[in-house]
This record gives sequence, structure tokens and C-alpha cells, in this order.
Amino acid sequence: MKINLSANPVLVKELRGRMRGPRAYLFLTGTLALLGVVTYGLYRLARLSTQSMGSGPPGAVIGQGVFAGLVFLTLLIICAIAPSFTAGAISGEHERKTFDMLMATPLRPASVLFGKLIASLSYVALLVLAAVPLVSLSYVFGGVATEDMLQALLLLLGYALTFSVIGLFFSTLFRRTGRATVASYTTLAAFVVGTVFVYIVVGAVRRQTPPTWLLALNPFSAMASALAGPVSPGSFSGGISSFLFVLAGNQFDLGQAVPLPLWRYTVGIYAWLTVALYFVSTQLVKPVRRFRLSARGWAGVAAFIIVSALAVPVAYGPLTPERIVAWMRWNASSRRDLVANGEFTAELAPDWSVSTETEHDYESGGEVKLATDGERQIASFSRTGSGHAETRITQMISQSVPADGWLQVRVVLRVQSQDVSICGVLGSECPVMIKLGYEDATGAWNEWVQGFYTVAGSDTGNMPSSCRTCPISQPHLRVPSGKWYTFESPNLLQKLPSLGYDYGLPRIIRSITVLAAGHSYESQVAQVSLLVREGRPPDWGSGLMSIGTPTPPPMFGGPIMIQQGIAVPVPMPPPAPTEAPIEMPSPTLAPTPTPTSAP
Amino acid sequence: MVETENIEYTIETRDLTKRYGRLLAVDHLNLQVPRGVLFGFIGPNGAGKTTTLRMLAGLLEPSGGQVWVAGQRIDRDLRAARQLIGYMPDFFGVYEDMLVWEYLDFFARCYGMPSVRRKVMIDELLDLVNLADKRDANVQALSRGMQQRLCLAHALVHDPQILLLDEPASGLDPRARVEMRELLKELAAMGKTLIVSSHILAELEEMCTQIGIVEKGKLVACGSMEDIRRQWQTHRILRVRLLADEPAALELWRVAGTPGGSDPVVVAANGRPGTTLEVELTGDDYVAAALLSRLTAQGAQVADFREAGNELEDLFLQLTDRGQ
Repeated sequence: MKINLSANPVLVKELRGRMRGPRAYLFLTGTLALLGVVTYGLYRLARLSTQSMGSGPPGAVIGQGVFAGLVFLTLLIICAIAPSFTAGAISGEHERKTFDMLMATPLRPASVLFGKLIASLSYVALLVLAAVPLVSLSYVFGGVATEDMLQALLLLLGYALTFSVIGLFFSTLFRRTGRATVASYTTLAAFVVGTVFVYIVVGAVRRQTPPTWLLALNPFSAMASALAGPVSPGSFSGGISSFLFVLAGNQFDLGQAVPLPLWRYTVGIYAWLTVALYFVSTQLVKPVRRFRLSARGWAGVAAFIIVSALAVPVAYGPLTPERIVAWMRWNASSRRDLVANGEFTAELAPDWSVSTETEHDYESGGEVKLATDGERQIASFSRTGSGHAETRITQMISQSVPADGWLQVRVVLRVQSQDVSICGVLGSECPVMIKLGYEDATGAWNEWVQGFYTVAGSDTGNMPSSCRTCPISQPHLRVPSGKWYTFESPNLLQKLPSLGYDYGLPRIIRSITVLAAGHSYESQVAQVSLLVREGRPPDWGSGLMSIGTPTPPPMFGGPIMIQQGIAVPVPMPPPAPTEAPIEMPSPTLAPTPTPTSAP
Repeated sequence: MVETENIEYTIETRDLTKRYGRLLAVDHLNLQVPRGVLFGFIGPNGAGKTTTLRMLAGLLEPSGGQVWVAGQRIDRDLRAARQLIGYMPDFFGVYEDMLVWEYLDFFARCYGMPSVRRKVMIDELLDLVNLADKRDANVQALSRGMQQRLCLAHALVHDPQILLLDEPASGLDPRARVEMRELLKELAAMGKTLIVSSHILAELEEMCTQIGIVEKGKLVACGSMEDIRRQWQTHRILRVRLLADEPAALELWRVAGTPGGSDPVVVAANGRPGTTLEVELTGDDYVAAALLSRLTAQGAQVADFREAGNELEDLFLQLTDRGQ
């Protein structure tokens, strides 16, 4: 859809009306004068505090103080004026009796709304942009990067849009401008003051730091979290900006209590709210056929719901862009098997070499025979005796694997019989064991072992659950007796979470061994694979779900705050009562070192 | 051409109904207004005139029934219907800080008129509604009559075939009323279909080609003035002045004036030359004409023969009272 702004008569009329007469210019001048005075005040305050501290680079602190103060003041101005410009947009037409005349024209009701919105938004944007030169004064002092300034500016303009749409929505909902205005400011107050109130009450009731997401709707909190990166809280040691940070919920580590900085959630919620309210407004403004959409309209609504539903996991996890890229790379990568003749379709030699070991020289070390079992070609391990023995097949491999890749051992096996309990007293006598010999990044040799057993035996209590003599041993797996079992290992190129100790991860695979051990045993292996892929499947573990369990940040005063102190003397907060070890939130700023009253 | 012939009525409503809670503002209204007709939509205050007009203009959702404009259901393509209709509300809406030409320019833009045509059209319209000298005046500074004419002009910017005018003459002084009436006649002469609402029948009867009388949301009478009169005006008071003294006049009446007529009342005997009788007549114009010819056939010298009183208002009251 092409938008030709001069073709929207409502926009032309509104802009003409808005800028006619001295009112608009006087208001702009007044706002700028206020901002200028505040800038100067912030500068004096910041200088005062840096002088009294007598340390640190004063320039950056002054620059950041001026920057943050101005941004918050502009935000305050936006909160104060943005809804008022749109709250009369449609209700005013009703009051002036022009609504019917306007609606009798073929102009789309949505165009009327759009013209009204753009007209008031452009004036708010003018105010914001007019403040930019003042804000950029902080360049003189340093401490603020251009990106930070742009980020704050975009956030401010986004707020202006959302608040304007809130005003617009109530203007279409009510026939009277007065009601629409009251409703708009009530909503805004719920965002600004209500959230902080709920935050404090929840904190007081629970007697612990309340969850940060309670402040997600608060534009000041979000702005504070956005500024928390570029602006060190220390620079707020004077006057208005620290006051505004109190208003913002006094969260210097807003970014840490939730997985992402708070403002990213706020922007998401506001964007959704803005689109939804604007859509409802376009329907409410229609004189007839409200909420009766064309097929295309409904398709648009459905698309919005689907896209926003999809956007949540993408923006806030678990479907983060990094994970999606990892997932796509993973699916694109091909799998290769490092083992030759792993399905025993050919003779064992030359790929596999057979070896045996016995405790008593007079006993046999068992034997490996190739056989068929239905469709399968199998290697069968068997031995009968009274002392310890091992029957092995080994394949030398010598192939390197990518450090950020994926390696899986896959074995199809069957245990027919065994006579030691579990895997013996050392855990090294399983009827089937897989051993992967490799070099780690330092070139040191290592071996990963996985054992399988089927008979628990009589004295299981004494038997270890994993191999005690092996370098790296996963817990043994119990498999059903006499039945085929397919084993797939986790990614061996990542640290195995089940192992409590540190070890070197494979870089070069040297050998793979399948063995049977014990006294008397019979077991079979139908397939041995060592699968390698580039990349690895994304870890979907943490995401939105983890918001609920944040590490509680300290209530007041981050560490920097404590170190730097404050120029304005503030009385020490009374020591927290012993029966309430966690400090209660209170609206007063306590920038002196928080008494660590934990018992 | 074929298409236009198929369209019997420019505006038609089928069982148009509007309910406000329990109040039935418009009750199954079936209106048919042919092309080129100046239709007077008359009813007392609160009869549902404005509600009906707003539904015709597509500004109000009917509770039931449909509006057909130029053969199309209005809710099928509202934007197309709006290009055909000019709507003048009963209250004139003013934007602050707006000049007369800007006011018209704004609505012309709303109708998507290109800027080249807008300028010419605005001047033409201001000429038509006699506001050319107020082109650069502030809209709020205009008198009531001027505002009313400007409001009419706003409904004309897109040269609509159909005009819906809600009480265009309300609040105007007699002179402005006449001007407005002339303006409407001029528009009718231009071939437009006009629906004009009013609560005063006399205001409309002279210029309207058709009239619909609405009461409590129902159409109680519809048709040309003559039709309505013929259909509804069965009782009328006649004043007859005969050039004779009272007994002779009564004797003449007794002989000739019996068909449906009741006993005459002598209003004035030999006041001015002759005797004036006031009689109540049952019947339409044909009955009255027959009576006159019989009187003259009896040799009566008839100096005056006319209906007495504000017959239209009586008719109107008679029609709108029926519901009560």
C-alpha cells in the first residue's frame, strides 16, 4: 500500500490547524527553554558531585548525568502530552458535530485515524527531535556513545507512538474528549505509577525482591534498563536523575533479573499493544459495519496473531535467532560414519581385529563369530569359563572431529547371557562394552566407555554402577535380556552432564572397540556406528521460561553505587530488623552502602 | 443506459428498521424515491426522520432491512454509495480556525478531488449558495443562515446525484428560508434527487414533488401532494360567499349543496355584499367541484369559493395524530 501523505485530507487539515497561530511555536519554545534550564541544572549538579568526590573522570560522569536526565525529562514530557494530542481526535469530531459529515465522505475511517495519528505524532516527534541538540551537549563532556543516544531516541519515539495510539483508542471508544483524556492518562498512570506500586507491594508482601518483569510495562523502568548499559549508575549521584531512577523502580540491574534487558520486553509489549489498539480503533471509528472485515482483513488479523505468536519465541527464546541458525546449520550438515564394516556384512578382517584376554592361561579367551539373525548380520561374542576374560573386536580409525561438531556412538546389541552381577566388582566386566579411544586437544590419550548389562545378579549392592578402571565411564545401562537394543550416545564432543569430573574432549578419534567381558557370557552386536556431523543441534534449554526464576538482584544500590557514594548527604537507613533479613523495598533512595543484614 | 433503466428507484428502503433498546425509532420503513424527485420527508420531532436519513447516508447501522441506492445495496459498497450521496446533517459541524474556502477544500479532498478542480469547484459552489464574498471569512463568524448554506455547499462538493438534507431550513429566518427553498428548487432543476426532511409540512408542500409523512417510525402517507390530499383529506371546511341575503343563500344551499355536505353555518350575512357560509364537506376535490357547478346551475352568484383554515397543517395533524 502506497502512502501519499498529502493525499490524506485529515492529515493536511490537522497539520494546518496544529501549526496555525502562535500556540504551537510558543509551546515548542517553552519546552525547549525548560529542557535548557534543566540541562544547566544537571550540569551544575553533576559538577558539584564530581568535585566533592574528587576522583574519577568528571567529564564522562557529567556527560552521562546530563544525558540521562534529559532523556528522562523528555520521556516525562512525552507521557504528559502524547495522549492529550490524540485523546480528542475522534471524540472531538463527535463534539463538533463534524463526525457524520466526515464519515459521509468516501474517506476510509482508517485514513481519518491515520491522519490524526500522524499529525499529532509528528508534533511530538518535533518536540523530541528539537531536544536532540541539547542532549548532544553531553558529547562535549563525553561518556555517551552515539548508539546509546540513537537507542534512547528511538525508544522515546516508540513511546510517543504507543501513548498516542492509547489516546486514539480511547478517543474512538468514548464520545466525549474529557472521558477519553481521563481514560488515557489513567492507563498511562497505571503503566508508570501502578507498576511501581505493584512492584513495591509484592516486595513487601513476599519479603523479598519482587520479580523484575512486574515493571515491564513501565516506560521509565525500560528506559532505565536501556540506559543502564551506557550510563553507569554512579553518574546519577546528583539530583533529578537519581530521582527519576527511583521512579523507574530503582533498578540498576534491571537487565540482569530477566534474561534480556527489560526494555526489550517493554518494546515487544508496547509494539503488540500499539498494533492491537490501532486495529481495534480502526474498527470502532467506523460508523457502520464495525468488525466486519473482508477476507483480506481477516487474513491480516490472522497473520498478525500468527506472526506475533511466532515472534515471541524468536525474540525472547527459546527460538532465538542464534538457535535457529544453529538448527538450520545442523539440518543442512550431512552425517558420516567413521566405522567401516560396522554392520558386519563383510568378514571381520581387515577392518576389525579380534583379540582376547584371560585371567587363567588354561582357559579360552572366548571367540567372535559372524552369523545371521534374520535379516541382520551379527558379530557374536561367546565364552564359557570360571576366570575373567575379555573378547574384543577393535577398529583403528585416526580421524579428526570438529571441536564444535557432533559425535554419536550408535550400537545395536543383544545380551543373551552373563554370569557376573551387573558388570563385576570393578564395573569393567560387562557382557557388552563400547570403548572409544581418542586424543583430546592437548594430544593426550583418553577413552570413553559405555557398558551394558542384563543380569542384576545376587549381590548387586556391592557392584559399582559404572566402570571404575576406565578413564571416562558413563553409568552402565541395563538392557532387556535376549532382545535387540539400540543405543545412541549423547554428543560426545560436548561435556557430558552426567559426569561430574573434567576431561578432555575428543579431537582425533583413534579407535573403537566392542568387547564382551566376564566369566561366561554370550552377546551379539548387529551394528556399530560412529556418526559425525558438522555443527550441533541447538540447545533449546533456557528461554522465556527462565524469567520466572531470576537471581534476585539487590534491592537498592548496585555495587558501583555503593563504591561511589553520593554528594548529597542522605541519612543512613535504619538497620533492618533481624526478623526481616531481606530489605524491604521503600520509595526512598538509599545510596549509602546497603547494610548487609543477612544473618 | 440499460443499467439505469433497470433502476426503478434511486433510493429505496426495504423494511428498514432501527431499534434503540426497546424504542423502535424506525419501524419497517418502505420508501421508494424515483430519480429526479424532490422528496419531502415530514414528521413531528422524534418521528425518526434523522435516524432514517443517517441510515440512508450509511452513517448508522440498521437493526433490520436494507437501503438500496441506485440499485445497489448500500452496505455492499459503502464507498461507491458515498460518492453518489451528499449528506447535510441537522446540525452544522464547525472546525475551529478554518476559513470558508478551506472548509470546502477539506471536504473536496475527502472526496478525492484533484486540486485543479477543487479551486474552480469551490468558487462555483460559493456562487451557488451565495457566499462568494465570504470566501476568506472564518467559518465560525458566519451567520446561521450562511452556515446552513455552507453546510449545503459541503454536501455538493462531489456533485452527488442524491442529496439527503436534514432540516435544511431549521432555525432560519423567513427570508433565509425562502433563499434555501429557491436553492433546493434549483438543485432539483439540475436533475438531482433530493430528500429533504422537515417537521413543517407547509415549508415543503410548495416545492416537493413527493411527500412522505412519518410518525413514530412508520410511514403513514406517501405520494404526491395531490395523492395524499385525495386519499386522506375527506373532510374540509368550505367558505362560500353568495351574493344574496341570508335566507336566500340558505335556500340556495338547501337545494344545491346536499351531496355529503352538512348544514351551513352563516359566518357573515351581508357583511360585504352577500352572505358567507361556512360548510363542512365530505369528499375530495371532485365533490367540491360538483358542488360549485350545481350552485351556479341554480343561479347562485358565487363570489368566493375556497377552503378555510390552514388545510395542510390540519391534514398533517390529522395524519400524525392517528397513531396516538
